[in-house]
Amino acid sequence: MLDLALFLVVIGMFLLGLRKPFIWVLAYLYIDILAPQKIGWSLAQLLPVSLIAFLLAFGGWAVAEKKDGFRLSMRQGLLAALLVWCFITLQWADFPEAGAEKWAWVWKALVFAIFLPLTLTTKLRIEAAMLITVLTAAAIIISAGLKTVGGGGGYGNLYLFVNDNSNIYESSTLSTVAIALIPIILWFMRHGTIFKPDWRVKLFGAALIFACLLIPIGTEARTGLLCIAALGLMLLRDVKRRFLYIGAAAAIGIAALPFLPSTFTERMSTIKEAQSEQSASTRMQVWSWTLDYVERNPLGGGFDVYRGNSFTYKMPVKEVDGNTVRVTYQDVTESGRAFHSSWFEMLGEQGWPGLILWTLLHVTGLVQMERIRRRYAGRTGRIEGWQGPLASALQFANIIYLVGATFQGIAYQPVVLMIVGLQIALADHVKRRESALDKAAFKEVKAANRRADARAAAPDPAIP
Amino acid sequence: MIDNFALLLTHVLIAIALIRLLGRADLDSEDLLEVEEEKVERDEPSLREKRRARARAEARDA
Repeated sequence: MLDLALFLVVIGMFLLGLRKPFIWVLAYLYIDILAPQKIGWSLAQLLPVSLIAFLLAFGGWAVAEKKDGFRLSMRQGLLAALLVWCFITLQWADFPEAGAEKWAWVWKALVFAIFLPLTLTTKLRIEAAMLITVLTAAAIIISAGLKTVGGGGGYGNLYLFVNDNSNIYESSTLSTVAIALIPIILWFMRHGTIFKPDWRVKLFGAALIFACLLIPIGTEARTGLLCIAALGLMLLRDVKRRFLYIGAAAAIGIAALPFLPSTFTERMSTIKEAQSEQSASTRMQVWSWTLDYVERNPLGGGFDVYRGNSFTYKMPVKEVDGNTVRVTYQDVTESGRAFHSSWFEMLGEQGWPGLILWTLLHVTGLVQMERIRRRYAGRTGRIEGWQGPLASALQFANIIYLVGATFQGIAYQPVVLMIVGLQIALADHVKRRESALDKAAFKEVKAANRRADARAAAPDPAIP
Repeated sequence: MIDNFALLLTHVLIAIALIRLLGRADLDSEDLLEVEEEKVERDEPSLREKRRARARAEARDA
């Protein structure tokens, strides 16, 4: 039943695309995030829906769209350079098979991020792409949030639609992405036009934000808590009544504490004792291993190079014996530990060139959004009131991602690359509109000059 | 049960959004030159401005 319904949704989107080919781009976003072909188990697997959507989105754009404003921005160039560089490092990868497996989805995510801005030529399209991204992720977030409320959470225990850790179905990734989407949901609650922000939109938005906040609790991902803290700090910039906001945030935080499951508070309290905790120790070890590795291989070791690491270190182990607590140090040997940080993931896999490209990609995004936010600050209204807040929301989403990415290897996260695509589209839209306005103003001045010249050349009627 | 509820709710919203998009002309092209309608009503001039305007008028008449 569910199977058939999801299959029909996908087919329905493909059919709607016949009327407006842009719908195929939205269909790809939907399929890439939700992976309905993995939820449904028979019908949807008959067709490679993801590939079909990818081809339809490209084909629809190539055949049916006007391409008069077509140009590639600097950040799309960065994405393209990163794509090419990843392919080059794949050629000398330490683990060619595992590397090829990762490359299979990474190139798709990068190519789509380069392509997405080309299709987002109007404000409504930018909004539509964001709305579909948010609503599709909401399916996963709402179900995970409700299960958390019902007590079904726990690290690695929260059952999602698909349990293969792909895209945002990995619990730490989901908590980072869920928090990163909150600023975008807030934007929809004030500036949306597909769903006008009435009480229903506000109610749904508030409930969805609540569900997003529950994800780090449900998945017990400590990084998620850092992301919430980052979001809370950043929202201070944009709220009107700062002290009221601080008070309310503190009150909600304290009120929520008794409701948190004890496993959550226990796990979160380990954030500060990095020494005695294996997960944190492993992280430090992997990071120092990565630094050693790039010293020898400054151009990186290709995808999944972490599989080659192995290290032994001493771990303090507490033994409680009656009233005495004995701490002994034991040797722990680990190998093939993942990077647990996107910065080190880029550094180890793609070397210094990859890390520089990746950092530039995100830093330029933050700067670009800041510029738009300042330019449109204080403007209200239907036509000029949405750009500033949207730039701010996309910037926040980016920062939250970078906070989460510091402790997770999610450098090529497809949803985040979609957000990068949205940033590029917004910047391009602002640029195109301003140059159109400039051109129109220039034309008007020229016409006025011409009229003045004509008047000066004409004989003065007052003199006979 | 929870899964079905979450899927149903979001898919209904996605469907409504797509149908609304089909009916919008600004999906494929928009007028970039559109500017905010300017507010026509002006604020009432302050007492000082009124007094100055009156003084200027009197000086002109004299």
